[in-house]
Amino acid sequence: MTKRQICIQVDEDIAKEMEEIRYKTDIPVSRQIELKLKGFKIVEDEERTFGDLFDNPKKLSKVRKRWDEAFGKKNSIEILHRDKKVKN
Amino acid sequence: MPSFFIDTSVLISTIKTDNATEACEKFIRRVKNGLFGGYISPYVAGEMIHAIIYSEEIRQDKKPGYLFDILETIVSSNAEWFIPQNNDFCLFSRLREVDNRVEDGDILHATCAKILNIPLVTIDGRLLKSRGLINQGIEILHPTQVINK
Repeated sequence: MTKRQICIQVDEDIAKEMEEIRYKTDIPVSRQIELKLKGFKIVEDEERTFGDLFDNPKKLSKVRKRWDEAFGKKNSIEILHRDKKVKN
Repeated sequence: MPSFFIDTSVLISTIKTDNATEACEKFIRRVKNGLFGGYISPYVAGEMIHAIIYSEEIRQDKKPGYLFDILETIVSSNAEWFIPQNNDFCLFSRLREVDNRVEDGDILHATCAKILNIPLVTIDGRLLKSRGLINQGIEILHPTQVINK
């Protein structure tokens, strides 16, 4: 299919989201727009990504929520049971 | 590039929010991005796993999910693994004698830092205040001190 170049304006937050997807997947923003117009959606399968916790704010906040729910007000020292006295 | 030995408490604080989380996250991000060299040992990973396996707060069937979080935190940090070899741990016995308020696990981390000749980064107040370890030439820093350096 022949392609025609056009210029469009999109909201800043949409552009940022698409740039993030481009950073992670190398899919150009123009291709993402084309896919969106055709009714497709690019969705991250979080179970298949590993080792990107500090690059993925959504995943990090999900993990933190899970840990906060489990350990409540305990801090990391208390979680590690270091609050006990050491015996000689 | 400045390098640091990362205490378990710093890694845990990046995923369990407490008053040090922000500083720990900034510090670990710098390790991940290669601005700092970061080292952990199998004992750091073991201490994290131990905390989950023996946790009374988490139901048994939910524990694999938390163990996965731990692995992901370690892998995401890009920290290097340091495995002491040969007679490296002779030093442990010497350091064990200098401060009886510090747990064996923390003395192990301090030993690794001393062998590597790099500062130990921790949020554990007992370690940060350990005059005995500091007098042995081990630099012990809070992540805030490292990121503000």
